[in-house]
Amino acid sequence: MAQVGFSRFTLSNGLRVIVHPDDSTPLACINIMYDVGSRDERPERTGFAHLFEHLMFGGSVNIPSYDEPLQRVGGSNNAFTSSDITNYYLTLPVQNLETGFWLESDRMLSLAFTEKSLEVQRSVVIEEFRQRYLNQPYGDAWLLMRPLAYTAHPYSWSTIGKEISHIAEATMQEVKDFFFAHYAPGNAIMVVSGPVKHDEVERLATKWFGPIERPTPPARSLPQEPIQAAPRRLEVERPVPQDAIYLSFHNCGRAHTDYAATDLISDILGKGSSSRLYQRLVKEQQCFSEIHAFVMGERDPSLLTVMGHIAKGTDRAVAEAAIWKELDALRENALEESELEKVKNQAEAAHEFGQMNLLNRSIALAYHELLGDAARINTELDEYRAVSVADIQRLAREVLRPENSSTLVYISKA
Amino acid sequence: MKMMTMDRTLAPEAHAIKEVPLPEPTTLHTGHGLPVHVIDASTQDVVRIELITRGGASQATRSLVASYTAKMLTEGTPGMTAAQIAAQVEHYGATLHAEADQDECLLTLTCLGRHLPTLLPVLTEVFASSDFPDKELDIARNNGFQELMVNRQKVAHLARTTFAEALYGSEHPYGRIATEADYGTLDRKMLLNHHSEHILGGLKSVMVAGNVNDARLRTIVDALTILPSQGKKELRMPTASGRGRQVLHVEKDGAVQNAIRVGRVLFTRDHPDFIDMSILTTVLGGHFGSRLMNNLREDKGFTYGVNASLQAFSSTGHLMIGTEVGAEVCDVALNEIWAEVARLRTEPIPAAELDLVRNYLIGRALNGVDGPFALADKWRMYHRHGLTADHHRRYIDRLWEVTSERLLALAQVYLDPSDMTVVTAGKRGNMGN
Repeated sequence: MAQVGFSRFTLSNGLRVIVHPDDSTPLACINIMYDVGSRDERPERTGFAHLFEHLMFGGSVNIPSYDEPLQRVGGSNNAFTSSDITNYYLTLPVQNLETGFWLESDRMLSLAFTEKSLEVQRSVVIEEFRQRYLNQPYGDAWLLMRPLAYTAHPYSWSTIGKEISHIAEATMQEVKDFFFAHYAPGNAIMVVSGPVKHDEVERLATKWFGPIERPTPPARSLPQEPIQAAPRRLEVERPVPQDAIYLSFHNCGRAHTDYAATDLISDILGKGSSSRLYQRLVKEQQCFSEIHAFVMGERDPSLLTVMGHIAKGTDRAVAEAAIWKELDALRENALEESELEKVKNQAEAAHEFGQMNLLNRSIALAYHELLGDAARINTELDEYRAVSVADIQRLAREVLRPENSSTLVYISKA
Repeated sequence: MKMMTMDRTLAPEAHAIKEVPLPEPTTLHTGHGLPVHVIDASTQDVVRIELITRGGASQATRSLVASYTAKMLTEGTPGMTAAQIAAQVEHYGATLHAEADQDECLLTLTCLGRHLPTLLPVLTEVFASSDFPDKELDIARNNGFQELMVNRQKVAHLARTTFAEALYGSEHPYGRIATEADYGTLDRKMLLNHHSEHILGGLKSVMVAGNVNDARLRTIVDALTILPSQGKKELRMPTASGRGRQVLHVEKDGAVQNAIRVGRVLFTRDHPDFIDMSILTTVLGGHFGSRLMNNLREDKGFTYGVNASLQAFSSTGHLMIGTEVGAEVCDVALNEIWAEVARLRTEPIPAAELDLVRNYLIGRALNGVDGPFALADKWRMYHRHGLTADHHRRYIDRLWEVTSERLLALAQVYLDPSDMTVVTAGKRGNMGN
């Protein structure tokens, strides 16, 4: 296994910086991960962290356009928001690395906060809401599943928000409050990677980010989700061509020692054509036309989900029972060592392929640092390797229980 | 102690990147003379092997045959069932996957380097002796048909397929759309025939990328010697002259957004105007700060995104502008698209804007050769279109040489609205001018 080499330092204002040298590329990458996501939103103003991500491209206090100067030096950029984080990244020829520091530090310093930018990005995000969630078959699945599975924790809404009105009503004062509360150097982790040297990165970071002073937000105290005691169910009629079923189970958070085993359970069930659900339900019984299983991997206790499209002509109850039969089997019977070996090999390969890319490595370093220690990028696979047959069975019994489940059923209505 | 005050309005010094080196693959041959191109570079111990064939949609006489031959390539041989192939490949964390596009069909193995000796025999067996069991074909056909029904609920899918059909015609392999009847009549014989004629008979080369030292390369080349020699089958080159302006709408009940596709038939990648046209297309809609993005998204908030790009196949190609906009602003958005096209045809692109696009494209060119897989993709595309490293050098040179006057002239020739086909899918409105 190739080790990811890196060094770290922290500026006096609290900004944590990781330097990851890689001389095999002419491109450098700057990734800044802010420790703020949709779980930090107020329930009556959801979708705000993501709307805010859009506003970060609307010009900063000293630089009217973010994209233009970056493109002018051969760079490109993007960003994403999740329940837990908001992540910004740019890639550019290493000769122009300082332009990246200039741009990123200015928007950490302060935004332009123009009414025009807020007005336009509200519309853009509403169109994104429509394009990805409302105008797609099954597109509202997570808008329905999250509030079913969560009764207290803010994971009960999606990153895009509960409803369009929350975005439409966002005000400039709320935008400013959000920025000054969360976009502080002490609430961010920056990774600089590519053909770069530690000393040069430290010099540039100190020069551009050092002068930014803002209090680090206090530790969050989010309402925790109570233990689920009984199965939950929601059936909806939609103009979709096939019935579909989504089955979610509460499980541990991303940094928990049981995360690797839980992730492997989802792989045993639904990763690839040799997985149990695909072989039994798509190939042998043909009661589903497609079926998947995956974990969300969020920081707080999160969800393991099985989702499938029910084959035309198959009774919904039969299809649902077929899934449960497989879940029961995993709970009740120890799996063969060779099946566990397979999913561990899949995890190792996914890890290696994922890390071919400089940007992916940079994001992973930032995320592991946020979870506690960037060095875990090099040891995480050991946690997967250490999972035993007994671990899988223990967790299957803990997680894959009807009382721990939320079931969302789409009923096809022509 | 605080730093000295600095002027944050001033950008750091910019360094123009004038050169983007394109490393060339080394080429070996199997015992049968099949070319094996090798890109040896990787930070991780991974290898990707692609068997490249002329087995794409343009070689099949009806729709679905090429895509299902590809899809079914890993679904059984006389010696291995579909379940056994999946189990063997996935046990080692590998993937084995075939896919057909307009002109080619690729069978791709990706795996950790140390598992190559175990997996190479599966790769060659699947390629050479797939026999498309009826039982597996039934499942794939049923599930594919259900997927089609889901896709027909998506305005982007409706607009894209209708646009291709409008440009090339329903008889043309780039334009035909699969129907219910095509799923019903697709049978094993068609796949067997396509496999022998265009997969085995159209085998062209192998692309290997990743961590491959000499010993590993010998293992690979030895294993590939089982494969037949380079296929004699020449690519059938379907022609397309363009069918003139058409304006079409696909109605979709309950749509809250409409999908728009605008464009026209143009040319192949080796056409003398291709490079300059790709620069012009980037100005129009090929980057985040493009004319269309600035207008439709960043100024008016009509859309989450809009894009203009050139598609190039083996015998033709086209320009396509695509976006999804609120159904209620569909007409206004179309008018803005026409306004941006008109502006490119009447006003020279300001020097600063062209300079930005040059630099942006240089950055993208650097990205496009970064890492073994990106490099392999680039060379596979070059080989397909008969291009050499010289094309890459000309592309980089043209970025600096091309003038606003030249792009204005190009826009006048190729961006005439009366040559453009317009497709909308969603809720009906007027079609713009």
